[in-house]
This record gives sequence, C-alpha cells and structure tokens, in this order.
Amino acid sequence: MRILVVEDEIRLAENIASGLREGPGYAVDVAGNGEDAVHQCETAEYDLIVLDLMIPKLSGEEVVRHLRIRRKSTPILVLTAMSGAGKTIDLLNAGADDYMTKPFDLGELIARSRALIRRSRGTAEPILRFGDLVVHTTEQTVRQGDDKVDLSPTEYRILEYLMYRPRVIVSKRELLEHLYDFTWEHHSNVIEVHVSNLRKKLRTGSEWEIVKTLRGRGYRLANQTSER
Amino acid sequence: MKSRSLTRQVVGIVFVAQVLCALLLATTAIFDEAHTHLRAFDVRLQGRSDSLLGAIQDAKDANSSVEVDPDELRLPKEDVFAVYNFGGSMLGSSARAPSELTVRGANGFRSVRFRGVRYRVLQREALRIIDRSKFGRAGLQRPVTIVYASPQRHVWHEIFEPLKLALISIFVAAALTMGSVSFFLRRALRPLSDLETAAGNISPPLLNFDPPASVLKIRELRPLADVLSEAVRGLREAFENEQRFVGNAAHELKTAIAVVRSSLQVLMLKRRTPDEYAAGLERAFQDNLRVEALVAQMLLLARVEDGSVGDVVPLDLSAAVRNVLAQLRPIAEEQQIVLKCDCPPGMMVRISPERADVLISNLVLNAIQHSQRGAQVEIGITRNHNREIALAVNDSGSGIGSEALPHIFERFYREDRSRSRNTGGTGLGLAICKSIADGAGGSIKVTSAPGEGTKATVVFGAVEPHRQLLPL
Repeated sequence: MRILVVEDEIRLAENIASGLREGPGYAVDVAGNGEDAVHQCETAEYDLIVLDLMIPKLSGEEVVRHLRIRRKSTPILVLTAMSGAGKTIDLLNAGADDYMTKPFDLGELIARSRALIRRSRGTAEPILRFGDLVVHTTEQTVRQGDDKVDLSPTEYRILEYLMYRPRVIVSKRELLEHLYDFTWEHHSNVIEVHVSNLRKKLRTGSEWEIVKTLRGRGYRLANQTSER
Repeated sequence: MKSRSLTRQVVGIVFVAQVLCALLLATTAIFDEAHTHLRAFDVRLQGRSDSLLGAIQDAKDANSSVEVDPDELRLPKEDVFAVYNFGGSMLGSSARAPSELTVRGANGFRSVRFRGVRYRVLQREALRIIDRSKFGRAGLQRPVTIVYASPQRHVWHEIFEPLKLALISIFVAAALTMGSVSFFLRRALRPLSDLETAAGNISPPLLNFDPPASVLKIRELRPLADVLSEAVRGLREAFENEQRFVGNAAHELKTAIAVVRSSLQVLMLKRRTPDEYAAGLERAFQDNLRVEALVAQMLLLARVEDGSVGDVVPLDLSAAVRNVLAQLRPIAEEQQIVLKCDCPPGMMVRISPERADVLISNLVLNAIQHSQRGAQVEIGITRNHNREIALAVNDSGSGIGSEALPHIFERFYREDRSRSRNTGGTGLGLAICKSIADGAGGSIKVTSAPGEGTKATVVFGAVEPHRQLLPL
C-alpha cells in the first residue's frame, strides 16, 4: 500500500512516515504543501492520503475538494488542530473520510489508516481469505490451511495487495506503485524475485500456482476452481 | 441616568405652542371686540341721551323740574340719568339714579362704578327751550347738562360669549393635534426600534450588523446606521484577527506537541538498538526544545502586545547593538557569517533595554538565518534630518518574495515553513519586532529583493537633547 502524507511540519511528516513504514509496512511519500499534494496525486495512485489541514499554498480543505472534483476516491484522513464540530462536519461533507485532532496517537493513526484502506477495498474485516489462504492484516500473519507461512515484509505486502484484489490481474507497475514510494522504478527488477519467493513459500502440492504470472500483463491470485 | 421620552417632549412642546397661540389669538380678539363693542355702546348711549333731551327740551321756565317716564321714552330699565341746570342744581333724574351721578369734569364719556356696578357715563351739554308761547317761536334757550349712565356688563357679555366658543374649539383642536402628533411620532420613530433589534443581534462570533431598510430610508438616522456598520465592521475584523491568531496558535502548539509525541511513539514502535534509541531521544529532545521556544515566543508576544511599554529609559542604541552582537557572534561564526557594525556613539533612544535586546537580536538572527555561508550582515545606526534614529539590518541573503512581503509582520506567517523549521523560526519573530517598535513610538519597515537580500529598518523617535544628557 502506498500512502501520501501531506504535512508542512517536516518532523511530524517524518514521524508519520516512519510510523506507517515501520508499522504496517506501507510505502510513504511526503508532500510539504497543498500544491505538491495535488500534483503528486495526479502522477501516482495512492491508497490513502494523510492530510494536514493548515498547509501552505492550498489548504487541506481545498486539496480535499480538488481531489473529489477530479473523481479521485482515495480515502483521506485529515489531521487538524481544531476540534470544532462545524469544521469537522464541513470537512467530512467535502469528501474527507476520517479525521484526527492533533496531538494524535501514532498507533491510532496507523490503525485508522489500515481501516480506511480496508474499507476502500470493500472489506470491513481485518482478515482476508482466499481459498485456504488466510491473511491477518493487523498482525501481518499468513496461514495456509493449518500451517503458518513465514513471509518477508515485501512478500507479505505483495500478497496483501493481491488478496485485496483476488482474481483480478494486477500489473507489475501497479504493484510497484502501491508497494514502493516514488523510488518504485528502482525496484522493478527485484519485484519478480519477491513474487517468485512468495510463490515458492505458498506450496499447493500440485502443478497449479496460487500467484499466477501472466507474461507481459501482470500477476493474479487464482485457485483451482477459478482456473477451470 | 434618567431617560426622557422624546414623544412626550414633542407633544408637550406642541401643546404649549398651541396654548400660547390660542391665548394670543384670544387676547387680540378680546381687544378688537371690546373696542368695537364699546364704541357701539357709546353711540347707543349718545342716541339714548338724544331721546332724553328730546323729552325734556320744552319747559315752562329755566328751573322747572324734569319729569320723564322712561317707559314712554323706551329707555332700558337699568339705565340711569340726571339733568342739571347751569348753576349745578338737579332738575330731575331717573327713578333709581344714584346720588353720585353728578356733573364732574369735562363733558364726554367716562366709566364709573356705582354701588359695585360698572357704568358707562355720558356727560353732555344741551339747550332747553323755555316757554315758546311766551318768548316767541325760538323761545328762551337755557343750557342744561345731561348725565346719562348705562351698566357695561351687557357689553362684556357680548364680547366674551362668541369668544368662549372659539376657545373651546381651539382646545379641542389642540387635543386632537397632540393625539395625532403623538401617533405620527411613534410611527416615525419605529425605525429606531428596528435599529435597536438589529443592534441587539450583534454578537460574537458573527458580529454582523445589517442596518434595517426602514432606517436607511430616513435621512436623520442613516448616519447613525452607517457609523454603527463601520464600528461593527472594525470590531469584526479585530475579532476575526484575534480568532485567527488563536487558531494559528493552537495549530502551532498542537503540531509541536504532536511532533514530540510521534517522535517518541516511532521510537517505541519496535525494539531498537541502543544507538537508535539514543538518536531517537536526541531528536525528541530537539523537538521538545522547539515546543519550549514556541511557548516562550508566544508569551513574549503576549507581553509586548498587551499595550505596556516596559521600563522605558534613554538607551544608548549603539551600546545595545554591540552587546547583542557579542552574544550572536558564535552563532554567526558557526555559519561563517561576518557581522559588520557601523554604530556611532551617542545614539540615544527611549525604549526598555530588555525589549531593545529582543528587537535587535530577532532582526540580526533573521539576517543570519537567511544568509549564505561566508556572507556578511551589516548593522548600521544613523540619524536622519528629523533627528530620528534609524537602526538598519542588511543581509545579502535569499530575500523575500513580493507576495510574502506584505504578510511578514503577521503572527505565525512564514514564507517557507519547511525552511524556517530548519532555522528554528516560529513565525512570531517579526510580529514581536513590530509590536516592540510600535510600543516604543517608532516604526519598522522591511524591503527586500529576491536573490539580492533584505533590509529591515527600525526608526525611533528622537529623544530631546536635554534628555540625551541624562546619564545611563
């Protein structure tokens, strides 16, 4: 998952980015003002935007309106120093999905981020299932049948992303964009290695593979029934 | 304070004016009527005395008494008369003629009171013809004096009777006028209660005042509504300004605290090496220093903005500048910046020394922070032709963008927050400088060209020469 943190206070942006990277293992980009935020949203697909309200150039509110007018449905978590209900209502009406007042708890910010991403992917439950695969998104654990599967952080993130979109072809680029920050292009060669390792760890006991590679098109989660 | 009713006042004025008017009218009418009626009365009296004369004209001899039957003459019953011969003895009188009815003074009309009743008296001379048969056709002519009197009360009755009616109508008209004046006045003053309602609705946080249309339509009330609108707008601006400041202050403080908190939470996210912990704690400590600096700046701003001027003394500005520069030199040297000072002695200004230090160090620190390594910051003090003393701080740094320049004295305004964070700026420094300069009766001005540098100038009012001689 790839997150955009819009915050002009560099130290706070750094801390939020660290928290999201080290906690759920998201890829995080940082924008220091509203204009950069809008620009970055136009060039990359984000799974969540963490947005401070009082930022230079374009205010947080303007960024929300701008994105919603452009029909971007990326969930937006607003950070605000104000606690007035009127302001909050306006924000939510403008298209924000959730808000937190400063000073916030980093753990809560991570949990809310997870929930918002989950919701935007169409599931309310923190547990993703596919065939005999069970991914626990909060604990970041994977079970196949009764066995625990031990994955590296990158392998886990690839699997989690695919689990949110089962049976849909996910292009290599999409996968890269959502798993890495703006440096994703440097990672394009290693992703194949990670997918290959992931495939090896998810044993099926037969010729058939759960993570299928469609040459030139991308990857897809598939089980036996859907193959037929 | 006791309030007066305008309506009552106006109605009262109208009433008094009407009564005075009525009295004036009545007096004039009485005078006019009295004059006319009294003249007519006199003519009537003359006529009656003529009738009397006709009745007594013929007599047998000069001293024969006069006998007249008033009924025969058709004289009014209450009239009295007496006839005297030339010698002064009475020849005859009417039945109830009072004894005071005598010949007195010159002939003509006079007013007299007999037995408490006012009479109009006509005293006239007449000729009596004695015995025509004896003295021929012309007879013997003998002069007599007729004194004829008639009570005046009828005349006064005639004068006052029609006037009574006029007075009643005038008072009825006055009452009607008062009623209608009161009614129309209340109606005319209704916009005032609209104004009252509109003014009563002025309350924070909206502080909105829409003058009612009924008020704007009235020329006398419009200036009041305009003044009120203007005052409320000023209030609203000040209030919004304060609210914005409070909002900004809350945002800055909460953000600073959020930084400290999140720094510590990032550190606690997972087990780390001792080196990582040490680095993380150092960062959290730096973040906390920023909270302290922010709080200190906010408190300082509150102190210099509270309208007080501190302990104002005549201060040698050059000495103060040298003192501050000595403290800032290590910071400047760290960035290889040269501080150049052109401060001649004897530049006296009136300011609190503590505030002067804050002002000078804020301006010099700004200049240092916006300068490149190896650059020079010039501090100069000059006296202009108005004997005002100007402190100028000049840097050759990055300069301020033209769209940012008008806002630099606003509290919490920062042109580039990401950069100012690195330099430890809170966005309050110049606001504090401005407040100090204003408080000292001076002014502050910043000119800048992007890429060329910035010049901040503070102009202080001149200290009078005799004050300059005071020892520090």
